[in-house]
Amino acid sequence: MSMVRNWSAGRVLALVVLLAATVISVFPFVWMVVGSTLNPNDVLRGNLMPGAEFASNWAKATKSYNLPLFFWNSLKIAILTVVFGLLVNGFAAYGFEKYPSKARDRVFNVLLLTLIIPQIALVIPMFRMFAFMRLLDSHAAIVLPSIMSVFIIFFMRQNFKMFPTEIIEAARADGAGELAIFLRIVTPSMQATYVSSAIYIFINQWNSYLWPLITILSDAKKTMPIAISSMMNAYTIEYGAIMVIVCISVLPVLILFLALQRQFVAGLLGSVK
Amino acid sequence: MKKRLSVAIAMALTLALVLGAVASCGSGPKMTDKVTVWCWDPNFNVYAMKQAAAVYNKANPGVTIEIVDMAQDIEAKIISGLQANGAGLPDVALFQDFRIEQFLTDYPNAFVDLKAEGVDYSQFAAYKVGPMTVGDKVYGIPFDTGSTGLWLRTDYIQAAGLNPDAYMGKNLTWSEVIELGEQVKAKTGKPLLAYQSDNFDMLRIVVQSTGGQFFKEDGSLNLRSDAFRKSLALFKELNDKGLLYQVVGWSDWINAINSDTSAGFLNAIWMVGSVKSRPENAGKYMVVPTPLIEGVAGAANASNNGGSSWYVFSSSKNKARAVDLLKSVWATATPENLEFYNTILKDAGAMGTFLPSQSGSNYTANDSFFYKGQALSRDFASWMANVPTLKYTPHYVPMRDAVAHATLNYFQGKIATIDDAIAAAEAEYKQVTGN
Repeated sequence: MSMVRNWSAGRVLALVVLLAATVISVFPFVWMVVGSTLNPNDVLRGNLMPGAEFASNWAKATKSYNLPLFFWNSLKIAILTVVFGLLVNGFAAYGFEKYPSKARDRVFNVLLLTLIIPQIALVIPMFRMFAFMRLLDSHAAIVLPSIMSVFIIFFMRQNFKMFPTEIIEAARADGAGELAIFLRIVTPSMQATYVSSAIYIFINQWNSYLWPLITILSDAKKTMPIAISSMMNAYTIEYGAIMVIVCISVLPVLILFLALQRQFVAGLLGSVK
Repeated sequence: MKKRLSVAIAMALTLALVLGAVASCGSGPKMTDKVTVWCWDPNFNVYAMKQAAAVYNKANPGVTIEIVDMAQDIEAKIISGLQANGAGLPDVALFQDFRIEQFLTDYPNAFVDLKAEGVDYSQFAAYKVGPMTVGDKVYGIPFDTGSTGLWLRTDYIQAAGLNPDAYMGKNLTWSEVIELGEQVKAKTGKPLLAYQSDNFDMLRIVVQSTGGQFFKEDGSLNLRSDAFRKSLALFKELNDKGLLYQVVGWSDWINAINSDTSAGFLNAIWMVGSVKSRPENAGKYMVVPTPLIEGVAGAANASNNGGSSWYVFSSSKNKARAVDLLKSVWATATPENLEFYNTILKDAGAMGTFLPSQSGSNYTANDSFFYKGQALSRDFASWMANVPTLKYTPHYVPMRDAVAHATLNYFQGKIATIDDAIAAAEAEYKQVTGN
């Protein structure tokens, strides 16, 4: 009996903690949705009851901004970064893990060290580089520097560690080429790793603000986060309209995550099929 | 085999990236007659510049004027461009008045001297020209005003048994305002002014109305002036008599003026949008001139908060055209241009600082949203001409923060006297700037 009571007390406590965590993480989303139906004064007042101003907020958000275009720009940039990012970082991680050499760990440590350099410190040198390459105001300027990611290389390398080297050696003995081994044998078993890397890269790029803000110089090339900050105007902030755009910009991340949740978690735990 | 494959992949990838890059900027430099303008609010300054472009295009149909709506952090972009010797910069950009002096100091050759290009600055509100002047060079074309007034709730004044008409349009002194505030507070319980205690704006408005400066000619701090002491003493008095409804943060302040917490506030013309966003405010507000601090030479019943101006970059490839756009539309009193100023006032609430424009029909029209249909634009425009010039200087921001902190501590009793508050502000300023 007492065991059951202990268990249920623990369970109640766990439920309370989980409930609190749920409220804390769900509340911003609720407020976001509710806020998109309120006028700016009510958003400021902290009103939590849905209002009737969604249509006027929608009109404000879409009147001066080409939202479908900004959405498409963001999507294009994020997808290109994911595709090139998986390719480049996948090769790099595989190389670092499965091709032993003396310099390997030294190079890798230098790469890891670059993680401590804050992005803001790189903005002006990078801006000058891209100005020199005549790539300012292009989506290439946003995609190119985000392809190589030390974090993703590190993360994928950790997962490649679990892939048995014996299989690679066996394939080599059977006469398979190195590229074929990587593409046909290694990659298919590392699906979960690739999926979680893809989600990570996508979310990172989808939300990226500072660098696109600096390099994008014309309306037609803007991305969603920049559109959101554009809603903070000269003398007023249209909170309702901002909430509308935020609602839209959360959608792809939400869909992507819900669709790939299982693989994402498996990838984080590290799995080889 | 292994090597050749990896080299091939590396080359293919590089090629793909380079091709993608080339394709995306393939529309390179076409030599058209084009002027690019950066500003940041589609319903305000972007709209105004679009109207100006339409006027300009009537006389110059072949010219393309591209107006880009930048996010708020436009300055970060401009700094990157200036650091890269003008790469990626537009021909014209809008700068906040309180920020421009730092740019003019840090990048002395980055902007075109428009006085040398023949702009007549006597046609603009004098206070706007101060921040854009360095020596005998003047760099900008003034855009909007932040002409200020004292916004009062007539319903609370009436509830206190007073007649709002006795105050309407009157040049009040601060002692008269304090007397009014005490009566309103006694009868209605409402403090007179909504006050954002972590913000410097209201104190700045008062100091500017005295004609005082925060800095001396040589750039050193000037907080021990009579004007500044009297302003700080006034704030302490308002605070001690319970006439300030204090909130922290801009959002809470906007919320305060729209939720009946106080009987008024001191701020600029552009608050009109926020006041009108709440239908219940209809008929209740009137705006009187910024009150006067007595006994300071050069003080006026006028001040300013906010505002920005247009600048041409020296790196512009179409400099003559950019200058012509600003000069021939924004700074020339033709009937079309005056109508343009009249239009942007009505449609965007943008009140220009070009003095000849004040005769426009939208300037003189009554506004039925305000108490007794006050012609709000006419009044703000007439006060604008009397605003004393304030030089912000490159160190405006650290000074602002230091004074705001000291004032807050003074109000909360952590600092005992005005002298100590000034000393604390000076010390913090010195710590941040090193001089």
